[in-house]
Amino acid sequence: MMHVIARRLGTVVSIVLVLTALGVALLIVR
Amino acid sequence: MNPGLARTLAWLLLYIGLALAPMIVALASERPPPRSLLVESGAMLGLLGLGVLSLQLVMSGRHRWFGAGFGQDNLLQFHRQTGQLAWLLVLAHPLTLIIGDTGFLAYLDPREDLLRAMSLIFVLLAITTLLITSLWRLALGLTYETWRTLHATLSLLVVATGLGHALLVDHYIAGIPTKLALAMLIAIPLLLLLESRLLRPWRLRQRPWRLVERESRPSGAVRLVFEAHGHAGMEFKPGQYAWLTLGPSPFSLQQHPFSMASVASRADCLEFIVNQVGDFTETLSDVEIGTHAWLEGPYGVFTMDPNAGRRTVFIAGGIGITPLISMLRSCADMGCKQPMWLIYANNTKEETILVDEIEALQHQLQLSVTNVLTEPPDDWQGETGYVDADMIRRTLPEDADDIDYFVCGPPPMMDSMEPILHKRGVSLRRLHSERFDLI
Repeated sequence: MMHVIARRLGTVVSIVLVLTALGVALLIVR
Repeated sequence: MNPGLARTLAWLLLYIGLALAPMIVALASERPPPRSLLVESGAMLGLLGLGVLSLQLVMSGRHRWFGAGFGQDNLLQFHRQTGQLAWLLVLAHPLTLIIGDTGFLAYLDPREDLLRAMSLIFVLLAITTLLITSLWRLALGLTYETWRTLHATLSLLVVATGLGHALLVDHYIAGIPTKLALAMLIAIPLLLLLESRLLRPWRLRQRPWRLVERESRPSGAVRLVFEAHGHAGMEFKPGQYAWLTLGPSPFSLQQHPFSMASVASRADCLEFIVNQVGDFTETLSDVEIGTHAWLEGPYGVFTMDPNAGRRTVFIAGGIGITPLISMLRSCADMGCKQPMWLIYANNTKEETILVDEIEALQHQLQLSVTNVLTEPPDDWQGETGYVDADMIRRTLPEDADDIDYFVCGPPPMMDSMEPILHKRGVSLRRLHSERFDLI
């Protein structure tokens, strides 16, 4: 159970990080 | 808020902050004029890739302060996902830059700059190798030792090359203060990797152990007992594990995690029961008495407190009994009176270990044992088949808030037990599970 949660948290954090990087890029060019 | 949830959220926020740290360092100084969205996205993905890769080194280094309380097996699941993210970022970084501005193709052209092009191609190949060998180690036929050496070496080189690349590209990381800040930031995980691979074994030299008993069981398992040599030993909680290295020196590629099977009150004398299923474990039945051993630990959050007096259900599959027998032995040692239940599943009667001892423990503890075999002999009186919801209902009492569950077994058993117990109403706080297929 915990290992599934840990894996899902890894996926969620990955998405958050990528979106943050792309958001920062957007802020830089605006 | 639930303290466990609050701690997890705090850890995740810290992780996100650290992963974004190279980007923050780059943007904190004077910024160059903006380029196209694709180019800026490529640059940010590259800086994020460096942050994520650096944290991968910390996460796998068995540092107690990092992710303490989450369990190394859970942390490695997170590490596995973020490793795939790192690979995607390292690939997306040059691709996005090149799509945004074909001038960036020059970075991969050896005629422009041989060292730069070779190092970038190396990073792309190395991180792809890291990913493939980690996800499909067994299918590729790689031994654990080969994989571990390859993984540590390539990880170190990828992060060091990534740092060198970031320092040489004079765009965001321009100026001595910014370069210094980034170098110091990435040097921390690099130094931590060296600490875990060099300094930690060096410190272990002060704490040698000797093999004093070795017994091969008919099941194919080997029982090994080590005594501390010239030191007090290793204090541990029942259920924890240690990394074992055999031989004259702790500097060895052979380091494997095994759960302590012994009673927790004997820090100076540790017992392990190991199934002979791999290259290393198959050599254990020939290890000579008196052989030097080095034990790094204890690790693991799969632990029980016998003094808590809580009713306890143990569910073991095969060799998964080892951390649970440490708990049961420790409970007997402390004279625990609370009711306990053990469901012990094996394929055959011959594979089943510790039968006599578990029977003896039934007289010392309020312990009810259900033996389960998937391939029972004709005269078998116990349960048969796989442990399922129906068997759980028949053999265990009604679930209540004062019952803790400890489950340890092979992955298919864990995959089936965890949802069954969850449906039974067992909260994550009371459900403790340990997977022994770490990698």
